[in-house]
Amino acid sequence: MIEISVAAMALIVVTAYMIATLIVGYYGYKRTKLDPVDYFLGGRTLGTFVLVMTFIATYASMWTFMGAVGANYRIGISFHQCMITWNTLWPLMLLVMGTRLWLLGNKYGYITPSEMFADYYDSKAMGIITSIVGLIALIPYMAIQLMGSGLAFEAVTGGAIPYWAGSLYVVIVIGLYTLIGGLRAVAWTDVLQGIFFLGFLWAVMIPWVILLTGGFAPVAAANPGILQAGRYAYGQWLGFVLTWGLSPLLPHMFQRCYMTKSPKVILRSAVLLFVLSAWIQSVPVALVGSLGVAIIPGLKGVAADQFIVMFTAKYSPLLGSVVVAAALAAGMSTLDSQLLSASSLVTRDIYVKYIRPKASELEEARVGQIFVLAITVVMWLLSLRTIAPLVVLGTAGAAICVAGYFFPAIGCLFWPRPGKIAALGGLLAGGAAALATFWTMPFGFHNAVWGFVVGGIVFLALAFVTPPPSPEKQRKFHGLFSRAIYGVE
Amino acid sequence: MGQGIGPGFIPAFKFVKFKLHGPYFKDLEGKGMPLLPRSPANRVIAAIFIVWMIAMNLQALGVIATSLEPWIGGIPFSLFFMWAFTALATIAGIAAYAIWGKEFEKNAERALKEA
Repeated sequence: MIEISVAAMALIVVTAYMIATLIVGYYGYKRTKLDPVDYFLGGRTLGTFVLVMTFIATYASMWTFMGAVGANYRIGISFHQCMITWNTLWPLMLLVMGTRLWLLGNKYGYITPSEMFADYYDSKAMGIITSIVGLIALIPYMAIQLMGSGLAFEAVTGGAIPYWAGSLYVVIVIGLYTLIGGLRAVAWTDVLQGIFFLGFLWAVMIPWVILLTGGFAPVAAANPGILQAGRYAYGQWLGFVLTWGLSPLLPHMFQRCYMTKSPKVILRSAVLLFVLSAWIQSVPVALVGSLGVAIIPGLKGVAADQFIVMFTAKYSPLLGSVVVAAALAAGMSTLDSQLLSASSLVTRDIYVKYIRPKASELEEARVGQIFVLAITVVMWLLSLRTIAPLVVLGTAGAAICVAGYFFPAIGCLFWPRPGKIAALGGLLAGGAAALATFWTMPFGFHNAVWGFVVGGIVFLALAFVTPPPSPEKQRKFHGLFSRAIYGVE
Repeated sequence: MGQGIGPGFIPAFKFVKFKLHGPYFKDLEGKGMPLLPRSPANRVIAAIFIVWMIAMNLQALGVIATSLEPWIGGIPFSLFFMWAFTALATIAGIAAYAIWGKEFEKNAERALKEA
């Protein structure tokens, strides 16, 4: 019988998964045309199943598979309560906000959030600042996917595959299929990855954890606090709910509202995500994490993020390798979407607008590919240090974008009063406040809360004293909603 | 409205309402822009979501439903409470689609075809 080391087993299992991903990515590449709508948005042709899976797989990242399990381990179901709240809120936002974004994208041909805001507010400054805020927010969020990959390899092999090598391996595969295949490769790999990691959580992890621990009652006897609610600091709770509950505002989620031509698809996707996100995604993460304190006690800080890998590797190195592959699936399905989104922001909003306005569609798509490669390299370099638990870093980064984008989105989608000065004020003040309080989180309130409070005050103050958008723009946007949503002619 | 609060309240309220909705875009019925079409069913759905959000906030603050007792079907009460309210919100979300979805599909396709 051949003896295989743990490191070799992990490499074999993960490589099998990577090959499957590359095959699916190649399938997407064969169907991709090199024009910006096809490369960045899949030609707006996604159906319900693919759109739902790309939404959930993009949304549920390494953060979910390792970070959220770690948070449930450290904090218990108080964190699950926070998570199930925001995982119900964001599909609601998709129903209310996403349908409007979909209408605008299909009617006026937008590819990036900046194009929409710049058009409505008649402001080039709005466009470029939106792109910059989006990029700033995506950077830590992307980096944590690679950090999680490195941690996963290191945990399952006991350090035989070092952190930097694990994250490098992942980034090369993602960079390859995203660069050549664009959104079609990303969306189809998301389907594979989503089925894999959600299926693994439900089919393997939940029964295994319940079998080992005996369920809630034995765990509660040893650790009663883990199953009590209200133990998560409210300032942090509120920040997480605001950030992730409004996640359709994040660029890579925002653009998914532009990826279909059919109103039926966007609506059904929102409804299916009520079930998928709040239940199929949140519940297994909570059970594995909070019951896990009885399996491997005493993990603290960043170490708790490795719990799911350590636990499976302890009982079965083979299964530990499969867990690593599932964790990578969760992270890769998010990172590929973020890479493509970041590339579209740089290509459309900076390169085409200011450097080469006469660029052909082919040139635009090629430049998009180059930026995918460049951003991939930068992300890997940034990920080489693990500086905080994954949930902390990812959420704080996303908060900058959500707190900034929220205010121009309100004017564009719901309230015709605020003009470009109010929108810019809200965007800058909200984003800056969230950035400034990234680490300090004064008085225990998450940086998202500060972003919304400061941004909100500035936005409202300016909304009433500065001119609204032109009547033409108001009719263009709100008139469309009036006809499409309320059926008023 | 404004009864018992003082005579100055009503003009102040009307001023604020003007500033909110103002002489700015309204739909052709002269109304403002709600999140979903106005109907009794949508109001019930909105109310369910508001109650759900309040319940979740109160539980997060440690005011209600924090303890394990009583156990319900092997699940601690704290967990049962959050799952029950979230199930209600999930059903409300599905109901919103059932009530409004077909109307939106029809109106949206027509609006997209118009110049």
